[in-house]
Amino acid sequence: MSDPQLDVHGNAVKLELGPDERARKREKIVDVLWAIQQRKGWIDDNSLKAAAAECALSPQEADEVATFYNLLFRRPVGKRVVFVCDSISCELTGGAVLMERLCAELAIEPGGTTADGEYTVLPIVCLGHCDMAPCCLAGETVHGPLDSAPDAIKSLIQRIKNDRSAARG
Amino acid sequence: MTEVLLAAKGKNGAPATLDEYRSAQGYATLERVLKDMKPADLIPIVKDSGLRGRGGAGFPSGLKWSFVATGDKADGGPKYLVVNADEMEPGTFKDRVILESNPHVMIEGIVLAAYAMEMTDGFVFIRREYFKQADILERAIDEARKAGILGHSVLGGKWSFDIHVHRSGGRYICGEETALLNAFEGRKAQPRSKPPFPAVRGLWGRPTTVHNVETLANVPGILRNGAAWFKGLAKNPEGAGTKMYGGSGSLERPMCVERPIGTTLRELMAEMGGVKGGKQLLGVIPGGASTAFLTPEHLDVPLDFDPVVKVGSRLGTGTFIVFSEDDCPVHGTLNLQRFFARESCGFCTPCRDGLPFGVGILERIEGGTATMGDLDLLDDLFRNIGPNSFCAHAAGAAEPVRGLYQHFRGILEDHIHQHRCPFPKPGAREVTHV
Amino acid sequence: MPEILFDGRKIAVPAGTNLVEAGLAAGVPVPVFCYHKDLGAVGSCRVCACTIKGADGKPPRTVMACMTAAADGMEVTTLDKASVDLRRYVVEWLMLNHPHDCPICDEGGECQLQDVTIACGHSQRRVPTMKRTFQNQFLGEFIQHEMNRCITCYRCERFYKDYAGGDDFGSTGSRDRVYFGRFEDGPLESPFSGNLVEMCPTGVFTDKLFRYKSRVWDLEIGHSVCPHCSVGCNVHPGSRFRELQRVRVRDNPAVNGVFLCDRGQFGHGYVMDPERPMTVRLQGESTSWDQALGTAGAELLGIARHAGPASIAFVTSARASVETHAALEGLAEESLAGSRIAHFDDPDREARALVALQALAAAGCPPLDQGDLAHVDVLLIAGAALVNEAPLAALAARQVARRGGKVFVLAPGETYLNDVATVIPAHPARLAAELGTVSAKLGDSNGAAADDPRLTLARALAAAKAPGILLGSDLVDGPAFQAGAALAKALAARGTAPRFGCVFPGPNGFGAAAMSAKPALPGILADLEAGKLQAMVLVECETSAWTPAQVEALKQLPLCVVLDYLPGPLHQAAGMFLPTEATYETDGSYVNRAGRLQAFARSRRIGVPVRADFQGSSFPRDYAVEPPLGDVRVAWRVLEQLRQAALGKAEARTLAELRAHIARTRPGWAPLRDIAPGSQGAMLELAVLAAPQGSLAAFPAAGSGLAVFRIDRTLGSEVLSRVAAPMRKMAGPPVALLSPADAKRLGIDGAGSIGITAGNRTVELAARVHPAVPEGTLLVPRDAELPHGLAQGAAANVAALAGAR
Ligand SMILES: Cc1cc2nc3c(=O)[nH]c(=O)nc-3n(C[C@H](O)[C@H](O)[C@H](O)COP(=O)(O)O)c2cc1C
Ligand code: SF4
Ligand code: FES
Repeated sequence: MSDPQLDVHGNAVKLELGPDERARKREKIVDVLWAIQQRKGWIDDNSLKAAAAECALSPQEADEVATFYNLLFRRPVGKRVVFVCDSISCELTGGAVLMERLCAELAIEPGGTTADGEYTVLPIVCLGHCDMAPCCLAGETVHGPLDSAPDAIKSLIQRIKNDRSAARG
Repeated sequence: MTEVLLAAKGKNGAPATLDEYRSAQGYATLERVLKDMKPADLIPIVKDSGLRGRGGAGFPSGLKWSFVATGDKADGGPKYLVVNADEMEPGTFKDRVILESNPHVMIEGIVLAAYAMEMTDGFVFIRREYFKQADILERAIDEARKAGILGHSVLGGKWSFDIHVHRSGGRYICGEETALLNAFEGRKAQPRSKPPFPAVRGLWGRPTTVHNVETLANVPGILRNGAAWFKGLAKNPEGAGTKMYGGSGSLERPMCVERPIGTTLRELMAEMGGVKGGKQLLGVIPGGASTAFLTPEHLDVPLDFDPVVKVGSRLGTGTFIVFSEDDCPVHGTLNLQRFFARESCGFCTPCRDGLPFGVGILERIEGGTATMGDLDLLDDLFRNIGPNSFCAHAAGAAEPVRGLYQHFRGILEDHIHQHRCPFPKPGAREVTHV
Repeated sequence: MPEILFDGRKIAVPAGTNLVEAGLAAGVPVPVFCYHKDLGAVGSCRVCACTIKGADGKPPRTVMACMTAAADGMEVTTLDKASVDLRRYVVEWLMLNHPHDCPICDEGGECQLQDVTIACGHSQRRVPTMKRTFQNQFLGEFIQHEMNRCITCYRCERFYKDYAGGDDFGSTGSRDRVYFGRFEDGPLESPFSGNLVEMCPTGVFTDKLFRYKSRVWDLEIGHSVCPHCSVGCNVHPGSRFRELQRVRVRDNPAVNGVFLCDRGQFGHGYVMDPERPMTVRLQGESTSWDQALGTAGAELLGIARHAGPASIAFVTSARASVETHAALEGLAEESLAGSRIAHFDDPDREARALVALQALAAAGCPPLDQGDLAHVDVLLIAGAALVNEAPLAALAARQVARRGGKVFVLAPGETYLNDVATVIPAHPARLAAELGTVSAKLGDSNGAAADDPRLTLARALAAAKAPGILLGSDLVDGPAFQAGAALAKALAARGTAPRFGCVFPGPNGFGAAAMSAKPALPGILADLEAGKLQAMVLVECETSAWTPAQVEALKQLPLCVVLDYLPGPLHQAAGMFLPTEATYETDGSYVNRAGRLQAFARSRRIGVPVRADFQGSSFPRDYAVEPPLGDVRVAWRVLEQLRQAALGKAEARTLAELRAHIARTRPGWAPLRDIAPGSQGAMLELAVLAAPQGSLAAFPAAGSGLAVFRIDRTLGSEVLSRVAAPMRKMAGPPVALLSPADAKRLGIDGAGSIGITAGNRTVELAARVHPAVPEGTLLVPRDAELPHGLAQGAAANVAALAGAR
């Protein structure tokens, strides 16, 4: 047993007034779902059930969380997901054109997945990199400011392809 | 301004390490405070300093601290300090800059604030898209832990306090403090009703204070140099401290800088190279998506909470978005409204269903198929949405629309009369630099 | 009490009252969607806008009535422009995606969205956007899902999860795409799922059994009482063209409020069952009422004369009304004095009910009725997994915990309350001892930490302001009834104000017990078996608890008259069958488990429904004043007519006369005289009620094998509701519950199949492991077959059946 947790006055904190074990398990649900997604690319029903069980939730309760977040997928996506920011600073600097050209280069519609299953392009809200607008996120890397000229788009795809953090599944 | 307080970087622009932070007197304040001061002594200083929340609402921080029951009034259970590093407000990237440059200043701020409010645990709620920043933060926390600043015995004393990082699944509403608490607990991130306020029933029903990253980063300086020093940093008489100002949009050199609060738009824009391509300025949204437009006539208004309110907008997050003469403010507002409609949590009707309704009208205006009646409807619509939503999300959405009507009524009418958007289509960037 | 001015009307309301309730008190119904008096206020729909001006001199502001408490001197208006505009907008926003399919929606006519839309003046779609569409889910046999109609008020989810404790239903998604449903298609697991129909302010969740049957304004709706358990929830059965089409809740704040369980809401299929006997039959041939009554009267008189009245026995049951019991008594004790009467059809349940009534009297404190649970702060439920025996009581118990009260369950097999209650899975044979321990420990308050939950329980009860003790029925033996009453007494002696209640078998178990002087059925059945009886009149009875020999003897009787509305073995066996009206078709009254008298009134006119006549072409071509098969009579009237036939001269009494007679002749029954359907009912005067004699043995101590206990289950075991196919489908086949230890010993892993052997018979049954079943016990649903003659709690040999898993 570890020593009791003490507050600023040196008194033991009454931990029983805090979250119980179940609440602590529940807190982990987003991380658990994320870990599954890192492995599988998306969260299928069986994985969702497993995640729910791990967090002491019913599948329904877990699904309520899973379907709330922009970064969690309940449908299959490509091996690499490219999130193109479509919020205001990127929009003002040509984000819409970027989206259009990127999709054209990959021969998909926004939201679509390439035929070879390599790329999915999704719009996303402000990535907090407005000083790098227009920008996109692939894996753990934010790319920007981006140019939409055909060569630049090709080079962007190449960089995403080479980025190990961007590939899942 | 000579001293960089909040975002001092380390060597070669890398995040400041513990040693680097220490060499700039980092954690000295914490040591002194823990040795010499009682928790209750801290709150009056922060109150006097005039520090106001940097998360957007500008609530006086010292006052906020005083809402948490301490000493005999507390029940002896856990109390939490939660750091809001969700930063999803479009146009806003200032907290990121602090996390990337100087994570320890925020950590020291957290420990000091937690000490003042006699808290037992600290949590940072960070948006998952900030992968690198969260890694930096976790590394810094680890450094602090190893150095005995965090953990079982803070700086060798009895108090045990640690900071844990919680990564979000990505949703704007998680930044709203009560929604954040639900998100944290692994629930759907819908806001809770207030009262009870988080200071009474917050995370897991325990007393909780939620603060923005930048707010906390200010705390070490205040406690090191005193309230008067902090007040003196400001450029305008009613202000206090510095501000991380960001500029983006049609700006030559978009960036984030720390400047005395009350610095004007004219000064900041000059520093950032002015409007992109030497175009004329049409207007700015001063502090993230949920603030109302300002126009060139406001270039000399001090960018501080009260002065900006006086001219009909809000400082918000202090990260402004520049519109040039080629940028259609209706198009821009439509973009913002699509954002707000999409990011609505779905709890209350004005936001969930009213915002898409507004998007529909804006699409017609921008597309040139609207009537003058639609203009009145949109105006009236947002007057009804604004004050009547459950949380400040939809209220924020109403702000840019209000500004649009206040300053750009003529442009709106042009859309109707010309049956099209009179501005050029937003084009691709011409310059390549990768 | 704050005084406020509400739309110009001055009213005083209790402190803390929100402005929706204050508005109702002032006669101003503020429109609401998300607000519900029992679910509380969350402020999500924003339709209850009103403008307030405080006494503080601040400028007026528009607020949500549901989220705002009335404060002294407040002026509230719902009529100012800001409030009116906002309400109109809210409806406009909600209607953006509502499909406006009122013409084919079953909710039409009682749709809150319809009403509020019209009331708020929204009629034009101003921006022609596409409507969002959803796919619906299969939610089981009871609930139809139509998500496109959803206005996202969250009431369904708040009821299902927060109020009723379910976790298989909720809302996924966000923004304007919130989806209320389940993780995957499948029956809703909560036994309270039917309330979604009532909770939804529009037609997302509708009654599947009622789907496309009627416009609701065409229904004939009466005030009635649910006949499916002893709680006595109030209902509004709705019929059209002689077809009972649905059952919805009637708000009785003293009993069920606005809630029902699925057994009550969807259990009515027996009424329209195609197999239901609707004709008078004599020796297998249909005949007229006059003929049958004349024959029966003459034969009864003849038998009384020749074989003596003691050779005639009358038996009825806990599902017969008070009036039927009284009429039968009139026949047995006045007209054929010396004949015998039993008010129950099951000897075990008879003894149980009589002893429960004795315990209520012995406890000496006020009874614990459903409405009283709202004031209890510490509740002990002993000897029942309450959701099985009295579902709405379990729902109310959950609210005790939600309000911050404590709930303890001292019984095996708890499935519903375990997330909010402290569950001590006591062996039924040890229940009396457990209760005794609690009594003994009431005074034990010396600081030591209570590791033993019994000590926690004792301390909680001792510290409670308003403790409540609720005993079940099936799993309580004689000593436990006494121990329960003693515990209540001990609490009262300590100066608290306890309430004590029991669950009774059947909707009128209390009434039947209160009319019984002593246990009568065992004697009658013994005489039947011994060939000492010549005639029996069985009114609304089952013989499922009788031995095969008794049932056989019944068939051999010279005269066997059966009055009922259910098909089944008795209907087959009867020499004379007289069809009677079911609860919803007649006037009468029941006494609920706490002694509350509740009257019900006819809401269905009996006879073949027009729908069945119509045969797809047109309305009937043959006309008659009387509906076909419409001459089915209420049991008490038939008994009165039989009495008239037997005596020749007596007048058949009316309902009022019967009630007056009981009220006059039976102590404690005076309230029956003035009882009216659609009221809150009235309590029998427990203090002066004549307590019946009789006793109930202790459950046998552990023998070899497992002690077998019959229990109810929420769906599927109750005799009326289990008739119809949708209910049987939702209930699934009966499954016995056994302890993990016994399962391990038997080699059953999770679930399997078992054989139960007693005497020389073995029956086979599915079984499942349940963590809260004590070792040595087997809980078997009442609807499963068991070896005959196996007394409650008696040991039987249980073995796993090979091959079955
Ligand atoms: C829709 C919405 C989103 C918000 N997002 C953020 C955010 O990303 N970061 C933040 O610090 N505050 C955000 N806020 C403000 C917080 O609710 C809260 O006021 C703030 O974290 C308090 O910190 P402060 O007192 O340090 O400013 C948001 C508010 C709303 C209504
Ligand atoms: S305004 Fe309403 S729907 Fe929008 S985010 Fe806040 S609570 Fe959710
Ligand atoms: S607007 Fe695109 S990153 Fe902020």
